Amino acid sequence: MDQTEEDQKWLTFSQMGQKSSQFSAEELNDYQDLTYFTKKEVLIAHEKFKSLAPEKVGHNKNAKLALNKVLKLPELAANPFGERMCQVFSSSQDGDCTFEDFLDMMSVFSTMAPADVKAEHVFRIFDFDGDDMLGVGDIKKVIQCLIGEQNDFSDNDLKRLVQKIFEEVDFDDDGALSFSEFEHVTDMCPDFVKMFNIKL
Amino acid sequence: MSESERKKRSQCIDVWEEAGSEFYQESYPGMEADLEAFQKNPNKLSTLLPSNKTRTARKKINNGTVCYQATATLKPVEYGTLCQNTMGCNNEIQISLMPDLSENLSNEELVWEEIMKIKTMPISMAHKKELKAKLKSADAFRLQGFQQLRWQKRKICNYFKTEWLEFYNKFHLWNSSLKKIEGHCGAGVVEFFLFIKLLIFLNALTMVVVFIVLILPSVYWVELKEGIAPDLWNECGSSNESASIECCSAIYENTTRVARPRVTIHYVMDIIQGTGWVESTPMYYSYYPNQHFSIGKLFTYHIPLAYIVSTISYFLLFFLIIVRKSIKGFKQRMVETQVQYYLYSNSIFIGWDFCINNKISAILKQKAIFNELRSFLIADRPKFENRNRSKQINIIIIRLLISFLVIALIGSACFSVYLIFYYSIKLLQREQTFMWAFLFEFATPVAITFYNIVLPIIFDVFLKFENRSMYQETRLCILRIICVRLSLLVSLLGSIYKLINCVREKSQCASALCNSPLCWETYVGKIMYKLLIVEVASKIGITVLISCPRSILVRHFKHNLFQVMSNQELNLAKHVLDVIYIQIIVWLGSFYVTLLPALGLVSMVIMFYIKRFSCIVNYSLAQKVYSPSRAHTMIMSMLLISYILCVTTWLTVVSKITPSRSCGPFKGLPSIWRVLIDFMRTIPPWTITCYEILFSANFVAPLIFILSCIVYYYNTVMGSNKKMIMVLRKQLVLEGHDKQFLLNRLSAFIKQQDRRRKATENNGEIDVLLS
Repeated sequence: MDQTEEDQKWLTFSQMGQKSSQFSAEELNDYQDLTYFTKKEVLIAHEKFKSLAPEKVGHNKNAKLALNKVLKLPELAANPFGERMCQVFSSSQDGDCTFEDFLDMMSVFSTMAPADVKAEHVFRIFDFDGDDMLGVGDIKKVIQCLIGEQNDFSDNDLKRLVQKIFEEVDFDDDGALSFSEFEHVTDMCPDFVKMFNIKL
Repeated sequence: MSESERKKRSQCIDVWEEAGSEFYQESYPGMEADLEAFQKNPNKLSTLLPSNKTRTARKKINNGTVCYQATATLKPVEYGTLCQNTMGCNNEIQISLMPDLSENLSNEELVWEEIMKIKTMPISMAHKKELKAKLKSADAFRLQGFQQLRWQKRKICNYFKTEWLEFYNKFHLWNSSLKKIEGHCGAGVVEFFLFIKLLIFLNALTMVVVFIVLILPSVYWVELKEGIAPDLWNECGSSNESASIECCSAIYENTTRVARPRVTIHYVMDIIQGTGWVESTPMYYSYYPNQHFSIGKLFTYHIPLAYIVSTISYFLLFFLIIVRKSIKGFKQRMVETQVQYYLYSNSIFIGWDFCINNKISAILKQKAIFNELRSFLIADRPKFENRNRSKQINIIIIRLLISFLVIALIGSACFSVYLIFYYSIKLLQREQTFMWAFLFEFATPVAITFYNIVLPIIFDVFLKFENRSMYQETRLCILRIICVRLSLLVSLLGSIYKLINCVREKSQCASALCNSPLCWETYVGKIMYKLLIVEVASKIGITVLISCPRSILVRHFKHNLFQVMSNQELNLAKHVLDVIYIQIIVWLGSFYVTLLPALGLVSMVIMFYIKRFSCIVNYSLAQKVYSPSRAHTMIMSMLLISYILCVTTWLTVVSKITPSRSCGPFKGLPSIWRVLIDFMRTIPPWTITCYEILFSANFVAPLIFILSCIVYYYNTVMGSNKKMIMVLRKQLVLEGHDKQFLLNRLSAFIKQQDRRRKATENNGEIDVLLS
C-alpha cells in the first residue's frame, strides 16, 4: 500500500474540512508515530491548544503559552495537579508549554496509552522535589492537593496517612517510595488506567 | 526462511554477547561520578540502585525485539540522580543517557518497531523527533522476499486497525454526553451510563431476535391466511356450556372484537392501557395462533415452537453477554480484593479522576476524597471497648425496633397491593364509566410504584436514628430498597397466580369462581406493560417536578434552611436499582408481550436522558468516591442476580402452569414445556438418545463429580497463590531490609576509607613537614 499517497488524500480531505491545516503531511506523520494519537486527533488537540490562546497560536502553531494560559484547559483547571503536570511536560521546565509539550501531555493521558507509560509520568508528577523518590514531603503534598485547601487534616492525621502508605508499599523501609514500589501500586489497581484519562 | 531465522538468531546471540561483555567490562560507567555524588551526600546512595529507577522503553512487546532490548536495558540507564537542584540538568542527563537507538539495528522492521516505541519514552517531543530522524537515517538492511511481505502486512494491519478504531468510534452512541458526565461526576458514574447503553443494546438485540424468529413469519402467515371460520361463534353460542378449545378461543376473539372502540379517545386510552384492540395485535401473546405452516415440503413453521425458541434464544444471548461483560470486571476485582494491602495508597495515588473538568465537581471530589481518607483513619483507630453499656443496649433496641418496623411496613404494603389488585378486578367486572375503568386498570401498578418511591424515603429517615457507620448505612439502605421492590413484585405475581390457578369446571373456559380472565397470559402482559409505563412516567415526574425545583432552590437561595431541605446527593446504587427494576419488568413480561423489549429499549433511552439530567443538572456530586471497577462489579452482580431470578420464575411458569384455553399458541396443552418435548419426538431418534444420555444419572453424576473436582482444584490453587503472595511480600520486605543494611554498611565503609585517606594525607603532610 502506498502510504504517502494515502496521506496526501487524507490531508486534502482534512483541509477541505477546516480550511487550512497548519501542519505539513510530514509533521502530522511524525506526530502520529511519536504519540498515541491519529492524525485527526492531533488536529483536534491542536484546535484545543489554539482555543487556549487563539491570537498567539494562530500566528505560530507551536507558540509557547504561559502556564496560566495552559491552565485554562478545563481538565487542567479542575485538576489539583494541573500546574505540576505542566511543569513536568514543559520542555523548558517552567510550566510554559509549546504545542508539542501539550501534545505529549495529551498523548500520555489518552485512552490508548498503556499503563506503564502513564505510571512513569504520574510518578514524575507526584515527585514534586524531583529526586526520583516519593519522600514524605512529596506524599504530604499529594494528599494536600487531593483534599484541596478547604479541607484540612491535622498534622497528626497527615503523619499517620504517610505512615500507612509506607507500611503498605515501602518494602525496603528507606522512608521513601521508589518508582518500582510506586508501580507496584499502580499494577495492583484495576482503575489506574481509567482514572488517568483525559479525553480530547 | 530457516536460514534467515538462523541468521537472526545468531545476530541475537552476537548482540547478547556484545552487550554482556560491555556490561561486564564497563561495569557501570558512571561509577566514579556516582561515588563522588555519594560522598557529598551519603543518603543518596539508595537512589542510585538500578531497581529504583524509572524504567524507560523497557516493555518488551514481542520476541523479535529481544536482542535489541537486551542492549538497551543492560546499559545502566540513569538520570536525574546526580544533580538534585536543577530540573534542566536533570532532563539533559536523562536524554544523554537514553539508549542510543540507532545502534545494532539490522533491518527495516526492527527500525520501524523502534520508531513505534519512541512514544513510550518520557522525553520531550523535540528529542523524540531527533531520535526518529536518527533511526530513519541509520542504515538498515532492506528486508527481502517473505520477510518484506510480512513486515508490510504488519504495517497494513496496524494502519487498518487505527482506521477501524476511528471509524468505529464514530458509531458510539452519546459520546459527548458521556464525556460531559465524566467531566462532571468522574469515571465511576460513567460506568453506570455505559451499563444503560449495554441494556439498550441488549434490548435491541432481543427485539431483532423476536422479530426475525417470531413476529415477521407469524404476521406474514396469519394475515395471509385469515384462518378461523366466523361461524364458530354462532355454533358455540353465547353460553359458556361447551368448553372445547375452538369455542373458547372463539369466545375470547369475540370479546376483544366487541371491545373495539368507536371513539378516537378510546383508541388512545387503549394504547396507554394496553387493552381493547391492542390485545389483538402482534404485541400480545394472544395474537399468535396454534398453527403450522409448511414452506416447501421439508420445513414446517410451528408458531408455538418459534415462540418458545425465540424466548429461549434471547435469554441465552442475554446470559452470554452479561457473563462476558461481568467476567472482565470480576477478574479486575479479584486482583484488588485478593491483595487488600493497598487501601491507602490506592485512594491517594489513584484518587483523582483526571477527566473531571469542572471546578465545582473538583471541589466536591476533594471533599469526597477527604471524607474517605478520614473514614479510613477512623476505622483504623483502636476502638474504645468500654463504651457506655446502656448506650449500646439503647442502640441495639432502636435497631431491632426499626428493623421490625421496616418488615411490618413492607408486609403491609404487600398486603395492600394484594387487596387493591383483588378489588380492582372485582370492580372492573361491573359496568363502569370510562374514567373509573381507567383508574381501576391502573390502580395496582400505581400502588406498587407509589410504595417503591415512598418506602425508601421513610427508610432513609429511619437510618438517621440507627447510628450506623457510613458504609453500613449505604449497604442497609440498598438492601431494604431491594427488599421492597422484590417483595412487591412477588406479591403482585402471587395475587395473579391466585387468580388464575383456580378450580375450573369442565364446562368453563376459565374459572368463574375467581373471575379468572379468559386469557391470563395477555392479562399478565397487560399488567407488566402498565407497570413499565407507570414506572417510567413516575421517574420522569420525580426528576422534573421534584428534583429539579429542589436543585434550583439549592443553587439560588443560600439560606441554610433551603440548603438542608433540598440538598441532594447522588446515590449511584439507587439509580442502578431504578434501571435494573425496569429491566426486570421487561424480562418478566416479554414472554407475554412480545413487543415489551422494544418498549424497554425506549424506556432505557428515556432513562439515559433522565439520569443524565439528574447527574449533571439536579445533583451535586456524590459525597462518596465511586471507583470504576467497584461500580462495574456492583452493577453487574445486581444484574446477574436479577437475571437469574427472572429466568427461574419464567422456567417455573413455563413448566408448571397450564396455559389458558382461549388464546395463544399453547392452548390446550398441559404446559408450555410440552411443545419442546413434542418437538423432540419428531426429530431424528439419535438426538433423543443423546438427550437421554445427557440427562441420565449415569452421565450427570460423573459430570458433577468431575466439575466439583475441578472447582476444588482451582480453589486449592487460588489458596496457595494467596499464600504465595504473602510469602513473596514478606520476602520482598526482607530483601529491602537486606539492601538497607548493605547500603548502610557500604556508606560506613566509604566514610571510614575517606577518613583513613584524609588521615594518610595528613600524615603525609606531617611527614613532609617533619622531613
